[in-house]
This record gives sequence, structure tokens and C-alpha cells, in this order.
Amino acid sequence: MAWDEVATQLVRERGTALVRYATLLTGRDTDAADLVQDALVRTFGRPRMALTLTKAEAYVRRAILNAVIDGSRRERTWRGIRHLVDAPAAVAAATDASDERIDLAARLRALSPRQSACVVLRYYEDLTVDQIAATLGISAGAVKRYLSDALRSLSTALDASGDGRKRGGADVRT
Amino acid sequence: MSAPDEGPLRDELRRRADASRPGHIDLDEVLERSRSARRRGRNAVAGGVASAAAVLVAVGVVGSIAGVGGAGTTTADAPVSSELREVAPASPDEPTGVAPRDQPSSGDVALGPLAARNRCGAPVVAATDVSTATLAVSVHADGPLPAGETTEAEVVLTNVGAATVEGALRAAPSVAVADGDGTVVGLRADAAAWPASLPVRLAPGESVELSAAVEAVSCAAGRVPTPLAAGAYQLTATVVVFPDDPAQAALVAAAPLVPLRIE
Repeated sequence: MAWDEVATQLVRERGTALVRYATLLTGRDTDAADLVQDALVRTFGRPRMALTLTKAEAYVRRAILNAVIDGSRRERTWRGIRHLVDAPAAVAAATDASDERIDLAARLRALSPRQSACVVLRYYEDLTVDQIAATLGISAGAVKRYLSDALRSLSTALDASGDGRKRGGADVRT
Repeated sequence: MSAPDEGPLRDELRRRADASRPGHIDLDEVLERSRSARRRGRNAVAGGVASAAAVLVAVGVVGSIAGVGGAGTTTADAPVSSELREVAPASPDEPTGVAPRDQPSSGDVALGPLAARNRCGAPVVAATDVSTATLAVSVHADGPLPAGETTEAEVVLTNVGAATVEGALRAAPSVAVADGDGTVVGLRADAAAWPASLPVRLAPGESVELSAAVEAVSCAAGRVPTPLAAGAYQLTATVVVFPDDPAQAALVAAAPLVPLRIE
């Protein structure tokens, strides 16, 4: 199958899923489609031999994650120097934290991009650890570590949102 | 330690996904921008390919005069593998015929890489030393691979040097399967599906991802393909880049061995 046929089929069949993935990674849907389009161009803008639909989707997901990571780095840099040119932005009201769901949403946004990607692929896309590793091009051990760290970060909010029983740390099952 | 309840996490992710309004992907724009990117890549090296073609003609002439065709039972476009290093010049003892001595040895370009490739039944060539190399290559294939079957290996070529590499790939990456002792038992060069010349331009630190076929078939079976026995094997790949500058020797890169299970 020619690369443009793969691209067309990928956008038609998996386009919405890819945009949702980008939305969950960034926490906003305003620029998710643009992010996916850029990732598609990165994937199909260079020759790749025997590109299949499955492989192309993995490439695109990786490209989306890399773009989010790059954006996150730029945002951190900006946060580091923002006080030099601007007054601190208003902090969300502390009372919001009383809402467990909002607390969970806030903690999800605070995850690192790689942790967030692993969480989205595991608990939204229902991929196995090995499938996540193949998709993101990292080792299964790294996936487990990201998931474990993410669940540890989320554990307080998850416990509050769950049945209320306090639980221990976070294990990751494959 | 027990895991926290994942239910609320799944619920929250689904809620956020459902609440989002997925934007529209402009397929036409994606295709057009992708085509433009591909055109830019081709145009950037068009001149280089012409130069390389001229060098190939020179190689043929010099090779026939100097009688270096002894290695010539191998196909000209066969990929090669070796350490990640520039190919060494031909031996000074080699007859040079009437070729002027002060010209760069054309044999460096055409025959050097061939001398450094993986061969069936021979030990795999050593992986490139990335501390001194210009190009590094890695290979990955999802396993396990059923005996006798073919799958795709992902080959990543990275410029680990300090200068931009501009050149062309004239053959697909050569993917070799080695046994536990590091002896090549399966070899595949997917030359048929490869364009005559694929331009490549890599800035320092930049990578390009390629695909190549890997098959669980013995290379020592003569004309009758024999599936490799189930077990633990290793995978490597080699890539040759012919620089646009004809004065530069071909760059040969070999990937470190990675495990491959055949069942």
C-alpha cells in the first residue's frame, strides 16, 4: 500500500481516536487536531519502507508524545522566567480540591507527558504493558515504572474518588 | 502493597474524552505537507545523486582496468555491514592500472562496503563504535517470530557525528539473524522493494527510521528455504550511506545485536 493510502486510511479510521489521545495528553482539545496533523506530517513526510497501518499509528502516537514533551519543556522554561516579565497568575481556588473528581483531573494534568501517555494508553485505550512499550518505543520496564509513578501520584485522589478505603502504594500489573 | 482503585481513573479519562470536541483533521493538508516534505528531501540531494552516478561510472572503468572485479560475483547493490566507521581505503599493493595515483580510489566507494558486509555462516560484523563513528544504527523487531515467517524490523539510522551527513542509501538495510555464538544464520536484503537511490540528509543528532524485512529462514539452505529452528537468536542490521561528496568514503554502520526469539 502506498504511503498516501496508508495516511488516508489512518486518518479516516483512527483520526478521532488520535485526536482524543492528543486531547488526553495535553488536557485541552483546542489544539489537539493541529498536534495530530503535525504528527501525521512528521510520520509521512519522510520515506519509510513497508509502512503498515498499525505501524503508522504507532509512529504518529510517538510523534504526538514527542511534541507534547517538547511543548512541556518549553512551558517549564517559560514558567522559570515568567516572573521576570509578569505578575504571578491567579492560583485555582483551594476549595476546588474538595471535589475529588476535580482533584483527580488536576493530578492527571500534573503528570509528566510520558507518565500521562502510559496512563492514557493503559486505562483509556486498554493496551497491555507490552503494547504500550511497542507503541511508545520504550521498554516494558520503563512503561511499568511510568505507570507505577503515575499511580502513586494519583493514589490520593483515586482513593478519595473510590470507595474511601485508604490503600497502599501502586503496583502495575501487565 | 495493593494498587489503588483504577475505576475512577478510567471513569475520569472516559469523561474527559467524551467531553472533548475532537477537532477536524484536514487530510488534504496532511497529504500536501507530507508531499512537500518528501520533495524537499529529494531535491536536497538531487545533485548528490548525479555526482554519485558519475562516480559509479568511474568505478566501472577503473575496476575493469585495474582488475579489481575479483570480488564482483556479489551484486552491486547488495547492502553491507561492518563497524560504524568509514570504509578503509583499498590496499596500496593493489594494482592500479593506468588510473592516476593522485585521484581518490573509486574502489573505496563501490567495493569497500561490500568487503564489510555480513556473510552467511561467518561471525557478524562488530557493532559500530558510536564514540568514534559518524553514523549509528539500531534494529528492533517484535518477537517472537514464527519459524519460516517474515516480519518487519525497524532500523533507525542516527547521525552521531558533528557534521551533517548528506548522501544516499542505494540498498535496503541488510538484516542478519545470528545464532547464540554470533554466527550469521539468516540474511535478508530486501533490495527488490528498494528504490535505486534514497536520498538521506541527517543533521547531527537527527535520525531516520527505515524498515527492512527479517525472516526466520536459514541462509545456508541453498535454493531450498529452510525455516530456522525455534530458539533464541540475535538480530543485527547494517546500513551503507554513500555521501554526496564523491571524495568521501562510504559510511558503513552496524547495529549492536539484540535478542530475537523464533518459535
